[in-house]
Parts: sequence; structure tokens; C-alpha cells
Amino acid sequence: MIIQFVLNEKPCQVDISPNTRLLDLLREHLHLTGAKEGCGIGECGACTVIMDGNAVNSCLVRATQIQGKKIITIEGLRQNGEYDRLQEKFVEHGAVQCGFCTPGMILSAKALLMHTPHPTLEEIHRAMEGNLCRCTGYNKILAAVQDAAGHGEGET
Amino acid sequence: MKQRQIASPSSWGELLHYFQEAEPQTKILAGGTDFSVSLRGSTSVTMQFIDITHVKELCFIREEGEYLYIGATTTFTKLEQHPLMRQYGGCLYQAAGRIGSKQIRNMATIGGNIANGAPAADSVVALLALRAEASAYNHNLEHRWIPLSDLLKNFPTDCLLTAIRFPKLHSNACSGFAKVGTRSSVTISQLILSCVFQIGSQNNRIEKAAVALGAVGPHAFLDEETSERLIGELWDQAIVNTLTTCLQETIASAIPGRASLSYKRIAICGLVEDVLSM
Repeated sequence: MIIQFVLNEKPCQVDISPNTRLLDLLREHLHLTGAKEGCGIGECGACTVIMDGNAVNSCLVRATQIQGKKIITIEGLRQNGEYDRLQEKFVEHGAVQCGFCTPGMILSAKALLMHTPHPTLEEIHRAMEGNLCRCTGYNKILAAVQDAAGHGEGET
Repeated sequence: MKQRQIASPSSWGELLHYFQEAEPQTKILAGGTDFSVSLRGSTSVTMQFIDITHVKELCFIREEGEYLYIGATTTFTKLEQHPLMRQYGGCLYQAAGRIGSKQIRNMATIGGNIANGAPAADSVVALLALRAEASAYNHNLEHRWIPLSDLLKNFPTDCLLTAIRFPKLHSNACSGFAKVGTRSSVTISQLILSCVFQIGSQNNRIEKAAVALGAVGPHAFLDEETSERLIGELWDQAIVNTLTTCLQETIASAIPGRASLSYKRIAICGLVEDVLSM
């Protein structure tokens, strides 16, 4: 089955089996391993990517559902050799320990800031509730997102 | 490993064509957040399904007369953000914002939540309290509106669910949704309660009532006995005890002998307070 979509701002066409999940398409076929498989049932958020501006669990999306959609993975955030402000703030705040949850955390935050450039702490909590971290205790992650938001992340 | 066969119609006309031609066991994919989980480990099974994600005609929220209509592929994010839902959706609006995580709400659809038939489907409980009806087609493309409470008792295998409608809630209606699970969010509910009451403006008594429960038995249900029992009651603080007592009896008769019965009989007290405080 041939699927056409936009991946990290570049047109992409793949011939895939209907059995394929978006997560498998990214990791196994396109070798973009930033999205991680944690639980595989949509509870941990480690596989989060952005689809048409909204955070989704790529483990719960069939590859056939991305026909005509725009997908952003963590690999797509780095532009012209420079990291996204969210990525810089995660580093500055020490919001990364083992790093397994980090791509999903950053993409959930990115999707929030694309819609809401200056979110409240409550809005950040709501946007990140589907992402689990077993290292940091969340405070540094929330601080990094707040800091990025304070600097106008997501403004056009 | 055998291939799964998938059709991805992009229009209403194409969908009807595929559905009419489909074999009886064909599955419908509408969001797929539960469906994808159920497919794990079943790759050796041949399966046909129709992915209705791209059928734009099925994604809408609109009012017509006294009803609010919602297309089957409307996501919970759209439900929790739409002004008509805030104005007329009451308990469904509340439920939509509490389903799963942000990622789940961005993909999961109201049609999928109903058709999946999970005992703890949050939106279904709210829809029952709203006395919603489902728009359903069979393979001969015969259409009918089916009360959701009837549909859940015997979900037809050849059913294409395309929309939901319910009477708009007006200013004299009180409605609420509450649930309890092991976590405050991204949790499978262990008990769900949703209610809609219409209060008489002259006598402050309940004129209409609809009380629905979820995660008590194989599917959510409208508690008709309790709903009837509350009509005519004064809308004051005493209603908390009356409703709690009725629901404790309902739960006891729904899951007799179940290990979770004693927990749910206590948990319902908190849910009643939560719902009535909304």
C-alpha cells in the first residue's frame, strides 16, 4: 500500500504493509529512532510525534492513517544545525537523565507551544499528562517548558 | 503472516461503496487508539477493515433544531474545544476533557469509543445520560436512529455508526460527569457516573432525570429505575443521599458477588457528590 505524507517538512512516499504502525514505519523503515517504544499501548508517551500540529502516540496510529498528513519527529526539530529552543532548555535545566522519554516529552511540549505560545502551568500539566518519566520527577521538565514558553517558543 | 486488508475511503460515497461490498466480519477503524492495541500479537490472523479516518463528512459538530449532532470521527480534542459543546454538551463536554491523555484525545473518536464497546468507555456514560441516539447503517445501507441504550445491549455486527445526536441541554438542566481510576489521568476508569436533571423553575423539583453508570458490568447502562425514582424530588441537599442510596442498590444488583462490589458501593458516594457539585 502506497502512502504519501510530509515528514519533517519533506515529501515522503512509502510502500508499506497495512500491518504497520506509524512507530514501526519511523523506526524500522525510515530509521528515525528518536520515537521510542515504551509501553506500546499509549500510556507512556515515549513514542509521541506531532501529526498535523497535534501530539499523537505513534504506537496507536496505523501508518495508513497518515496519508496526506504532516508528521514531525524529534529529528525534525533541529534546523540548519541548531537545536530547537525547547531542546536547549531541556539541557539547561537538566531535564534529561536516561533520555528515553525525552523525545516524547519535547514533542508534547512543542505541540502545546505551537497552539499556545504562552501556556499556564496548568496547561503545561495537561499537555504533558500522557508522558511518563521515571528519572527526573518532572519538576525540571516542567521548568524547561515554562522557560522555553517565556522566551516566545511557538510564536510566528 | 497473512496481510490485513484495509480500505481507506476519502469520501462518504466511497465509504458507502466499501461498506456495502465488505464481508460481515469487516472491522471499522475510527481513530483506532483501542483497536491498535487489540491488534498487537494478532498478525497471523487475516482481517479486513475500513479506515474511516479520512472521511471528512463524518467529522462535524452542529446544531439542528433541538438536537446537537456529532460525526462519528470527531475527536475528543475537537469535542472539548468546540463552543457548541461548551454551551449544550454538559456532561459530554466534561467527559471529553478527561479521556486518556492529550495524545489519545487527539486521535480517539466518539464513534470509536461507542463501537469499541469497552465497559469503561467514558464518553458512552455521558451520552447515555444525554439520552443520545446513534445513526446506524446496515450493509444494505438502510439507515435508522437507534437509542444508544438499546444499541449497547446488542451491538449489531453489520453496523456502520456514522453520527450521534442528543437533545441540547438548556439553562434549566444540570448535568455532570465524574469517574475514578487508579490515576488522576490516563487511567481506565473503575467507576463512572453521569447525570442529567431538568429542574422545574417554579417548584424547584426534578422534572426529568437520566442517570448512567459505567464500569459496572459488561457495558455502560442507563439506570432507568433510579432515573424514574428521582422525578418529583426536591432539588436540594437531600438529593445527594437519595441518589447515593439508589445507586448503591443498582451497583449491588449489577455485580452481585464481585470482589469490587464493596469498593464501588463506597466510591459511588464520592462520585455522586462530584457530579452534583458541577
